[in-house]
Amino acid sequence: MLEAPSQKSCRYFRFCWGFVLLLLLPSKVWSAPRAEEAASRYQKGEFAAAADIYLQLIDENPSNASLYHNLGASLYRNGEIGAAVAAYLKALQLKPRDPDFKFNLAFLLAKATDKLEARMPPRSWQNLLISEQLSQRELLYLSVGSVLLLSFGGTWLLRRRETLPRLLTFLVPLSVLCLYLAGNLWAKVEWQQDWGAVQANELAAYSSPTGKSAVQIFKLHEGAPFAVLESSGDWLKIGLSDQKTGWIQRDQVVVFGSSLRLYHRAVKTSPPENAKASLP
Amino acid sequence: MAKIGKWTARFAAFFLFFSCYGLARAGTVTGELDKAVGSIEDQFVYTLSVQGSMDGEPEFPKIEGLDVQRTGTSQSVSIINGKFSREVQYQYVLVPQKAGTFQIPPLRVKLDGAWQETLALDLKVEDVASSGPGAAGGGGGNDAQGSAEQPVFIERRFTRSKVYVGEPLVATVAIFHRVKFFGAEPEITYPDTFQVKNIDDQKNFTRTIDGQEYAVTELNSILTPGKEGKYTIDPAILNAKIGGAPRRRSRSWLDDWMTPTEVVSKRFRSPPAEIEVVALPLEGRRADFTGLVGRNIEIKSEVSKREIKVGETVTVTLTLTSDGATAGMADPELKLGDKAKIYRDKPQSLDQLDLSRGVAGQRVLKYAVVPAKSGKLNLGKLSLQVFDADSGQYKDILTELGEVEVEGNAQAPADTQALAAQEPPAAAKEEARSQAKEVETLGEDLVEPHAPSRLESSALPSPLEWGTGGLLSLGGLILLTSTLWREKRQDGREERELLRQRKEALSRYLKAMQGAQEQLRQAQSKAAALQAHNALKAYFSSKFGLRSSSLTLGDALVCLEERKIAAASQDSIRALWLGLDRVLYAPDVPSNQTLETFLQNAQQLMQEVDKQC
Repeated sequence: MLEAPSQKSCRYFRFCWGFVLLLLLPSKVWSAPRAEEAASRYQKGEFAAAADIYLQLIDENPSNASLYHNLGASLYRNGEIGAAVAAYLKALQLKPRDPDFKFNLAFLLAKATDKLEARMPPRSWQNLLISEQLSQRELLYLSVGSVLLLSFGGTWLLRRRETLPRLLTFLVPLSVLCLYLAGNLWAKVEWQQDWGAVQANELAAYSSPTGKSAVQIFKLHEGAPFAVLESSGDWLKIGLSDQKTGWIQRDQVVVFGSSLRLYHRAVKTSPPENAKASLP
Repeated sequence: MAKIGKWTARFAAFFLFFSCYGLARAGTVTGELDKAVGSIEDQFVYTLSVQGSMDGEPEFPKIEGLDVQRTGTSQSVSIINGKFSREVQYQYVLVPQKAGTFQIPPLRVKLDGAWQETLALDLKVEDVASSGPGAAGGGGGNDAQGSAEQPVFIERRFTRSKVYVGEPLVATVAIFHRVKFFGAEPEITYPDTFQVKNIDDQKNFTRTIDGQEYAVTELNSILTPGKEGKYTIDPAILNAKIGGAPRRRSRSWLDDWMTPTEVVSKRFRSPPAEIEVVALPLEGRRADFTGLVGRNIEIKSEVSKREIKVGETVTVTLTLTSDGATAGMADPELKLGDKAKIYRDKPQSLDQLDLSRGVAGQRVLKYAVVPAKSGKLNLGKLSLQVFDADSGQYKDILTELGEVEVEGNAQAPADTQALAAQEPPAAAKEEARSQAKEVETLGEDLVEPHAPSRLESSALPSPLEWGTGGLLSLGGLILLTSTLWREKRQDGREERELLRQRKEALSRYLKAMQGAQEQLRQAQSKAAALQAHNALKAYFSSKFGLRSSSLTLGDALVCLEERKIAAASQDSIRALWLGLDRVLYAPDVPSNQTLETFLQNAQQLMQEVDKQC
């Protein structure tokens, strides 16, 4: 026996809510005891050990923004400002509006010698996007929400046999919104640029990845943020917020990217005095 | 024995017949060129025609010096005198890369189980005489010089043919044409080790060569070589569709307008060029080499104020000019130790194309200097190591910044340590903010790590979320489209119902009128009039989709007016309606005879109206 259409859509609606509620259930996929251990090591002042544990946890959960935040703090206390900047760059990439991440990155960048921003100057059309302000998950939820609103609203209006102008007044702006959000989501997934920071005290950038004959075009210092534009052997082509580009050696930098991950424990004699002194 | 021989002969004849039949049925394959001789600017079309059933796809062999692109396939099926034949044509465009004679080897295809092949074809490609002389000349050498015989040619110029690593040069590709282009696409490539910056503004002008006026389009690029070596630059190529001769002789302007011009695809090219890139010498290069390579490099400095108070800002502006790009250079640092705090502004580079100088570069650097002590502040000299491409040597360019008189200030901190702790002055702070906007949020220390209980799950959507989101969206869209479809179908059903009612309106009316006449025969004139009146209302409601209970004469007349029913018919309808009203509501009842005539007239009238509807 055939069901009435309204019953069908009600069932679909209930099904949707069921799924949404299921997704909203808190899911902790990281290992709690090891996170406790890392926190305890940090409290004891064993920052390198804490950073190591956070790195292991990140290996298991590479998209957990809070782990990058904790790693960044541990690295900073351990005197690795460049690596800490790279960790916060990644954390902000995952959760762009988190105030803690923003504050800490600003704090670290202010300490860096090179006054560079952690973003490339946007092109005019990029100003239209909101993908820089929202995380992937938020964009996904907004996109799906707008599609559902369009679908249910459109269905309801069609059932009510609303006039064509009313239907269009509702459907056209919502369709545009859906396309806009889906476009932002696509941009977020496809155009995500890896960012990193300089780990060495001083690092020369060259005009080409050829070593001997290349011309040194500028110098960067520890903590300078950059975008990874290209990779070739042991070299990375980087772009800075002041639109400079150059080639640098990859063993001198830290990148916690989606496609590239570079981190070498820097040999530091001692953590910076202010870092230790400021511990609670 | 004779019987066996007879059977063998029969079998042999049978076998021979079917073999011949099979051979006769075997497909054929032919290959042909649209022209066997042409110039290097031409494109050649090779057509492979296959008749019969082919296994797989044909493969065009690789021929050195010929670019081969398959452009399409066409099929034709014909039945002539009951014989069915099928032909497939594969078309290939052959673009010659050099002049010479090319042999296209036989193409083998398997047709109806047997291998067949085309004949080998020769293709002669002639060089275009006047596009030849172009080896890159010396500084500013041209690649090609056209002659008035050619309707289209490409000229290429480089500002220099020998440059140093990092020294920019301007490459100009000028397209000369005196025929109409119906679409053109340039292909200009440079070695990977060259950084190429295309200048967006293309120049268009006209030039007369040997009495022929050419339209010229110039495309300019700035090339910055990144690695030493001798480079052969590939020819600049233009794939263009140009107008050929009209297809037939024109007799009038109308004929010209009506006759389409034949469009021919051509590929024009400049000869290859050579550029030598020389490495910068290691000898003489210091660690603080700025990386600026160019000619006529100069530096100027400007200090905004020579007399200030402690804590105030003085702006030092350095302006570097060079016949070369300045965008990639390392910026110099002002070193004043603990005498002052220095805030560097974002440098501004302006590298412009200049026909006489190649690239005219300018870089402006600004430093906000905040003196820490009173007295004379000696800003000193600033020395930058650059590479002068004219002399082929490193040189230092110097600028004297001079001194600034700093007056003491009671509120100013006495020593540098205190100054370091002090907030930068408003101007410097503003500059610092413009460089790094997020510095505004600075506090005393980092925000501490999140407690384990605050650690969140992954910030990226899980596959479950992606899948669910996709399913929900898909489901929603399916729901919307299915509702749309259902509503449309429902509308269609209602429409059909309405149409059916319209079609049957007259027959129902006539049936009802028969009923009315029957009642009239039974001397029930009032009932007959009522039935006739209702039948009339029912007719209009079915015909025009109105509700019959509330239908008035006015509504019916409006509908008739909208359907442009003749005025006379409208008047008759009005008379009929009012007449029935009179019979129904008037105290005196007309005679049966009168009423019957009236009803008969009403039937005829409605039949006429229905025809008009």
